[in-house]
Amino acid sequence: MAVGLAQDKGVSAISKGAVALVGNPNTGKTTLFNALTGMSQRVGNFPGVTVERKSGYMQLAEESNTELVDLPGAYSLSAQSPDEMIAVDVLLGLLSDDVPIQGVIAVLDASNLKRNMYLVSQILELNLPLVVALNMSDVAQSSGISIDASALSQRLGVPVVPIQANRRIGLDGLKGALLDVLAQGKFEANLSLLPEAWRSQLRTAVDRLTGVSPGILIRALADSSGILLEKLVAHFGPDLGTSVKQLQADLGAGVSVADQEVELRYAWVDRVLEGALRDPEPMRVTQSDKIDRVVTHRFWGTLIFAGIMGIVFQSIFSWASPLMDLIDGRFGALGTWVATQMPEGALQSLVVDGIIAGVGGVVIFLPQICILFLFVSILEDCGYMARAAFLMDRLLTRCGLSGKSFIPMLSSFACAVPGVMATRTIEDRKDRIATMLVAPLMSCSARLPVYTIFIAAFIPDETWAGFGLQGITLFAMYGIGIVIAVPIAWIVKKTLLKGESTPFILELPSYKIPDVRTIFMRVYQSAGHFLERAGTLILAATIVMWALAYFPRPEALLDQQEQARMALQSQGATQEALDVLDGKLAGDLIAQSYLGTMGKAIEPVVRPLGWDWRIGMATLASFPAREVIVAVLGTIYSLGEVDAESASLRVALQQAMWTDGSRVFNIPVALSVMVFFALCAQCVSTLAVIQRETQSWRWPIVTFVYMTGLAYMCSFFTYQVGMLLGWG
Amino acid sequence: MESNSKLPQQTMPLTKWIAGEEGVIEAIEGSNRLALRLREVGAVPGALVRILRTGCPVIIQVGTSRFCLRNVDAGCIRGRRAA
Repeated sequence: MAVGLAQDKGVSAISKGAVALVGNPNTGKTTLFNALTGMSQRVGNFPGVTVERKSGYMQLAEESNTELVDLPGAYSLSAQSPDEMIAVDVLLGLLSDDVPIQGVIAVLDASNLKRNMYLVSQILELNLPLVVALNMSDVAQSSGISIDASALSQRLGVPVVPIQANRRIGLDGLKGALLDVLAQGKFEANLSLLPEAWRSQLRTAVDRLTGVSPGILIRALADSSGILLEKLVAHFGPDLGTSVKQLQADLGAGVSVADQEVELRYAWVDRVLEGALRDPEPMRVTQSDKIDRVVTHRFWGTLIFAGIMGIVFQSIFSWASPLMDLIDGRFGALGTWVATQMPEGALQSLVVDGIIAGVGGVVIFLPQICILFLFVSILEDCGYMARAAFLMDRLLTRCGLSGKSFIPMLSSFACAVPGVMATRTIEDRKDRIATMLVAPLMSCSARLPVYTIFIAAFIPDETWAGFGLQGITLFAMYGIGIVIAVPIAWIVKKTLLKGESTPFILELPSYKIPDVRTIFMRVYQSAGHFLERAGTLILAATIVMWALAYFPRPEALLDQQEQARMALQSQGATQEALDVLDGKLAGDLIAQSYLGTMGKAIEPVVRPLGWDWRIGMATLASFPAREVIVAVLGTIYSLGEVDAESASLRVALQQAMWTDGSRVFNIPVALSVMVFFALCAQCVSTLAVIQRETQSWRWPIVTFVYMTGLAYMCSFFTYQVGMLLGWG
Repeated sequence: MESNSKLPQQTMPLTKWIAGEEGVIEAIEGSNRLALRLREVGAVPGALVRILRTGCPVIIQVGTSRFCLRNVDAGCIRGRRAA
């Protein structure tokens, strides 16, 4: 798949294989990736391991496109988080079905050179052509740091190129240097930092083993967890394991290689940087430190945090509405136009009532998703997110999570899928799984359609102590997930994921002006992902639901209708009377459809929640993806529609009746539906991503069962209490 | 390693430092994953360190990087305060 383009255009050996982009977190790696690949990037999976793989093409020479793979940020190749593990797997070539890596660009933050060089020292030991990109060289320079790139390059034996990825400065030099090292091909691993005795022992061992490079052997030796060694043995054979054990005993002299690695490397880094890096005042108080005096302050910082969150959620609702109205209008006009262009019948009904009404009802929410992702990516790119995690740590520790759970949980307000994936930065497995289990309780953007429609239809537009009742209801729906997540996380950490509290170390990067390109790409990709869902899963569900609600259309009923109509017409009845007749037929048809039959069967289960068979069916249909309910209700009600003027689903819901003529919906019913949707695990994508990330069926099943159980109970409680309070 | 220094009153865990104080790291105690990670990101003996915010979590500056960690973890870093 991904190889395609490179091979099609391949003119030289250079275009074979991909180049990996590696670096510490917060080095501007993503900014560089976007600057190099532009719109050619795509998100796929690494073969076999179903881990997200972000790649794109960069033009290195005329007629030659080379694939660039953006690896997750890593401090070290001694991986501690799942994110770092991916970087290690790719660099060591452990993903055998993937495009081979033919070279590496290491991105370094020039203001943080010493720490960043640690990772470089590890990459130099792999047999991969390497170019070092000194990013944010302007920032370093302005704070008095001077780096002699050519001296550094000489000592490392690889090109060192100063760049400013955000301003796209130095990229041509970087590409030229990369082209050069790729053309040279075979790269001799640099083992200069190891003691001589180690080097000779390593070489002897490497000669005995086939296909194992010194770099791989070093990684195996330094692996204190044993996880990487296990993988390497599976890949290269049991001889590697024996060699590693032998070498551990010979080299360690009582101290494990892992323990000696750090000191060896930093001693080497000091030697390499001596004279090449001049930082006259490394402990100076930076602009970021000054900002942090306020932003990480217990009181002022918390206040600022609350303010930012307030602005985020406020703008999601107020900024988005004009755009949403625009989209709504367009789909409405499209439906009307198509209806005039097509002959009446099943096909017209499928297109207008099924596809346009269904998919359109979901696409409306695109602006809100874009705005939420806009904020999340701005906050992340400017460096604020780490401060938010710092502030939230004390709170999250109480329910057994950590500050690192904050970013996944905030992302889950947009969509739980990226939220669950964002847990990869959490090193501890128990914390990571606990975060995944509660992340879907955050009200994602797919719940918004449900809240918006039911609130607009049933919650009176009144103010209450200065606050709009509708706004309070929406706030409560967002609040319920958060409030319930606290005890759930606590219980999960006390039972299924027992263990002591885990270490927490989080870098607070320097603040910077967010990069427009990076933010645009992030928003663009999430919008694309959302539309893809609307075009596939939701479209399919809509068509199925339309068919179930449209057929079988019993002949007897249609004939009866025709006779009644003719009788009325011959009596000279008004148009109004004819419309009433049509409406009754539409209602009868849907009640006798397959959907109607199934809905009646499940009605006893949903009756205690105050629901009629239509809500029950629509809810059942929305287990694959919760936003389907809007599409399905749209389809059911537009099929059973009386008057073309009241096409709006809101009006249709308000007018829905039980067979005895009383209204289906009142406030307790609407609240009960909303609470159910707030808490229920109605999202196949989320469950699938939890399965993928945990490599186990246990956790998606736990998530589904607890969330659905909770949803039913809370929904029941809401309806019953609401009725007791006389809100009906 | 060097935990029994000649001037024990000067070498103490970072949790005992007050905000704004700076000094030099002398030892990272323990060999668990956290200690390894702290050393990998530069908290090695000889590195400059400063306390930016106390409480839990604390914010410390190690070399040119800033990290936040919990008290229980910051306590395994011992250092000598600058006079």
